[in-house]
Amino acid sequence: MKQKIETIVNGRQYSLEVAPRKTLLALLRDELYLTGAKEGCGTGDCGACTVLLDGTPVNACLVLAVEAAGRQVTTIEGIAVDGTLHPVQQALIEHGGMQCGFCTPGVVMSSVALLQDNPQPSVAQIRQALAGNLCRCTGYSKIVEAVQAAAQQLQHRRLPVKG
Amino acid sequence: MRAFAYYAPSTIEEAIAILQGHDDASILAGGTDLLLRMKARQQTPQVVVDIKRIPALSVLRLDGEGRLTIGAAISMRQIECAGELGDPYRAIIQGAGVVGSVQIRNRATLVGNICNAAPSADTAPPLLALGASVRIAGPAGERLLALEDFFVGPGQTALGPGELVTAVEVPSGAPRTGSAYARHTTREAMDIATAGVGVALRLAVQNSSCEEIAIALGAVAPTPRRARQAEKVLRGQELTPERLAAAAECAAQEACPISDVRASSGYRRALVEVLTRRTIEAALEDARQRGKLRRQTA
Repeated sequence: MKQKIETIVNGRQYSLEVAPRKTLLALLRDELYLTGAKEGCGTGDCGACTVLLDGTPVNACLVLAVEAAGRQVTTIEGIAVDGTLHPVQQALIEHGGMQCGFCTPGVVMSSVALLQDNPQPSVAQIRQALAGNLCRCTGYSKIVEAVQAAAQQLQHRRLPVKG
Repeated sequence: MRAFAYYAPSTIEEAIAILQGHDDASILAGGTDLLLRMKARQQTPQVVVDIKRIPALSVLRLDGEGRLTIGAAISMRQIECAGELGDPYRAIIQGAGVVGSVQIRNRATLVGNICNAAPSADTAPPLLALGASVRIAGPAGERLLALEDFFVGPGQTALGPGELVTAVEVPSGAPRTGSAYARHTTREAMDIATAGVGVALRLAVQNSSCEEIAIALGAVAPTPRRARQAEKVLRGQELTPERLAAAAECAAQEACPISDVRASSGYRRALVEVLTRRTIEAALEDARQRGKLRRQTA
């Protein structure tokens, strides 16, 4: 039996009918065509499906769509502002923190959330924040460098961090 | 996942009524255990009861006497970041903080961790060592059960039909107490404990002997459990290196680990010995630090 839910995704209000067993990830990808979040494992291990739920990073594959009722969801599609990349996105490109790009949306979401909570994280803190985002390509070093660079950028510019 | 009916009650009473009304109902808190099992079809409930919209379950508070209450909807992340609750519940914060990833901890709940009742649950040894109890609500009313009596087997708890855990309660930490939790995992994160030890102790006024101590072991028995013989070695005694070593060896003997994908039983026993000694030392350091801080602020 489908249920009606109201949810805000990337700042936009949606009224949707969803079956209880539909995950938030499936809703975002199949119904809203927001395919930035990926299903890398479906078990909450890889973080490729990371989105922000009320500002905090979660694995969308382990959230039911109905649980997002009345909540705010931010996906990778909601990070760049009017086509201008967020410093985290820009830094990942500049520092070689992205190769195939499959883990990258999740990495961006986790990193954006980290820098909101902790604007000047240590390397250890970055690695801890990204422990739930697996990457097969980069070996993580350049991802960490990119997050450090983005933190610097944000401090210099004192940009409002979107999320 | 198989299809199911989803309810999100707003009171404990409503939740109990739904659980009573359906044989095949599962409680959904964080979903990081339940949804996994449902996806694998290891559990196929016809009804899922989401308890996160019940305000009474979102309590995380220290009362006037220092007694800590952790509601069923409180996430690991909330506990991890609750620095102000730290003293003397450091071991609980440490345990909650090593579970999974940030994404998992933002959803997973401490109460869910103990209700899932894996022998390796990271919040269990700290809670056992700190003397925690479980508050249960059900058709017959409310009851309080010692956490030790709550775990009855691997993945099995003392919850009856129609019952749910509403909170975990931890007695207030007396002065000069310290606690710590340590575990061994193959990976730095995103791993299940191969062995875990939680310790809480209280120093005598002179700060050289241990008035009270509790040692709890995880992942090395059918349930998380206290190492009572090891505790006897140290209770009321000075914590000399020789006594610590003796207690650690005792704890290793009290463990009854199995061999599985993560380790052999022999390796687990060896881990218990090392982790017990290290965790007692950490709890001791914690108690001493707290003693210093108290003197500084006095």
